[in-house]
Amino acid sequence: MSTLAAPPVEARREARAARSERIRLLVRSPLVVFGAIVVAFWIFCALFPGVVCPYNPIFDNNFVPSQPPSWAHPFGTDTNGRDVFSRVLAGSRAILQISVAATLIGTVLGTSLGLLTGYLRGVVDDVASRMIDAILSLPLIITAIFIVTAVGNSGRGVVTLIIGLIFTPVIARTVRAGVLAESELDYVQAARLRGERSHYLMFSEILPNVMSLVVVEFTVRLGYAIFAIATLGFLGFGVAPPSPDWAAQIYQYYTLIDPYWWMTLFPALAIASLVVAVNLVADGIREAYER
Amino acid sequence: MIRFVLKRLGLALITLFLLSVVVFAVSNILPGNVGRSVLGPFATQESVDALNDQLGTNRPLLTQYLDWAGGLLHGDLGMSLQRQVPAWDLLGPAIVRSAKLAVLAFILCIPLSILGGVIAALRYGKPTDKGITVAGISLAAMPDYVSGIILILIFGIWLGWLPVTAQWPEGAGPLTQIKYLLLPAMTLSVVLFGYIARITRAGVIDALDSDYTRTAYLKGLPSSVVIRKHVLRNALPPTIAVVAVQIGYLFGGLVAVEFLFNYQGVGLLILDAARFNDLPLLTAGILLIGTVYLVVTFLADLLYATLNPRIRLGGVE
Repeated sequence: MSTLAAPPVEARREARAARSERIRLLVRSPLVVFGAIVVAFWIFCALFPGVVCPYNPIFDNNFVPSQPPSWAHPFGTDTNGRDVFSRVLAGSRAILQISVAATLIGTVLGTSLGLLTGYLRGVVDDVASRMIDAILSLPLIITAIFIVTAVGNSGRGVVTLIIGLIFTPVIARTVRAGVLAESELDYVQAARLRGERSHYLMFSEILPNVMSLVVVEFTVRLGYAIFAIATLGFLGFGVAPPSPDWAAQIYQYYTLIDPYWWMTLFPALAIASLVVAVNLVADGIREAYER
Repeated sequence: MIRFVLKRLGLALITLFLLSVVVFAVSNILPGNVGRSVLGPFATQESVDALNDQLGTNRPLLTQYLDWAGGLLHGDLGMSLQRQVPAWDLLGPAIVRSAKLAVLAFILCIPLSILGGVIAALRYGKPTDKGITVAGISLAAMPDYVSGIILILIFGIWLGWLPVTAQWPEGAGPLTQIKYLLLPAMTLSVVLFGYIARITRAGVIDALDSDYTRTAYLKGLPSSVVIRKHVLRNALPPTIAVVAVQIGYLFGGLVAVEFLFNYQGVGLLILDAARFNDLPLLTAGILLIGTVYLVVTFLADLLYATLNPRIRLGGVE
């Protein structure tokens, strides 16, 4: 019995060593660190808008409207006389909430579906793979617009759920490939010979071994989710005013870009900084795991 | 080669069929009551019933699907509810306009991004490589309209070189049209640059690392010949396949870019259809985009196979 118990302990120690090695690799890359700092900054703003915003982003509309950037208002004021700087700082909240929730939904559902289709194979797998191909032949934004229109509601919850559901097949496909590769390995065969049940095999044997794939997928998809939600917001399917939201601000003010450029440019730069930072981190994590 | 083509064609047709089923299901089952969802909560029950009658959405789903799919096979994409004209009359010209924009975007970005990818690979690990790679990741990650806004500000407003909308004056010649399309096309190229440069770089690095490249160097060929005849010829086919697949994803970007520049292409048409709850037009447009994507991917597969002798000569399935 003791000889049987030894490998898991060994394996666990190895896994821990691999994890600390990966973290060391991540911390050594200046780009990943830079990305992480930017993401942390926006998360902080999302959690504590009251601490970072010099003025109330929604109700403080008693300034001179449409003023260009100055010392008092580094990003200027908008047509309603609100401080754009405060609105930009407070604007990370909605997009972070929606994108993280949507990515979580997609990751949980996609991982389950990937485990099932990769493990069961056969007809379920064939049918699911073809369906996934069909859905993936449409760009994300267009699928999202289509479903939002068909459902007739573009509220926060609906958008979150739709993006999550669209991610599901994509993540499922990646996880499925990982599961297929793992199923060939001896430890799965051994567990099967021990007479373990399917759900034990899937969740306790295979899942921990495809977890790194899932982590990479999550970070990569998070970047896409921010991209998609920011785009939907700009197209008018997003957070309703007067809530501060970068994409909604751009949607509201982009036609006034000449001469009121500051109302559009600063929210746009904020979106760019968040999305690029998330992608730098995701790219670093992908490289660390693929090593 | 023929087997390869037939197999791919068969897969594409199956996928197209499934796409039509999915699209049909979304537009006919999700709304619950199609007439109600088009007309809104304040419409009278009679007008909702009348619209459902006109659209035929009160019949069994299977009959509806067969009817609709039969119409599609005859080239009948349905009627636009909002404008009361056949959907094709709107989609046809819009597709042509979007294609103009897309072609210009590809002409702008393909040479630049392949060059960027090759340079990055040849300078592998050096600052030039890092710079190109990070720029590529950043540009590809940004929503199209964000880069569009920055380009509008720089070239349209501060420098004043280019028009900020894509609506050229009536009867403008091709050169004027290109001038008006330049900013939106640049916006699309910015995103594509990231993808294409990244794939090119990976392909070239792989090829540089291979035994045949080492052999070519060892037998004394000058490096320009090795790179042109050995490295690029092996590295570019996968790049071409990726470029072709990006054409499909370009449609996703077209929606935001056409909206930003107010350009009446297929993206803006779909967006308007969604805004006005014009489900038949939206459904037709989406199916059209899916079809274009599948056709393009199929052609990309063929092109890839033709460029790759291992598939052309039937060695690999």
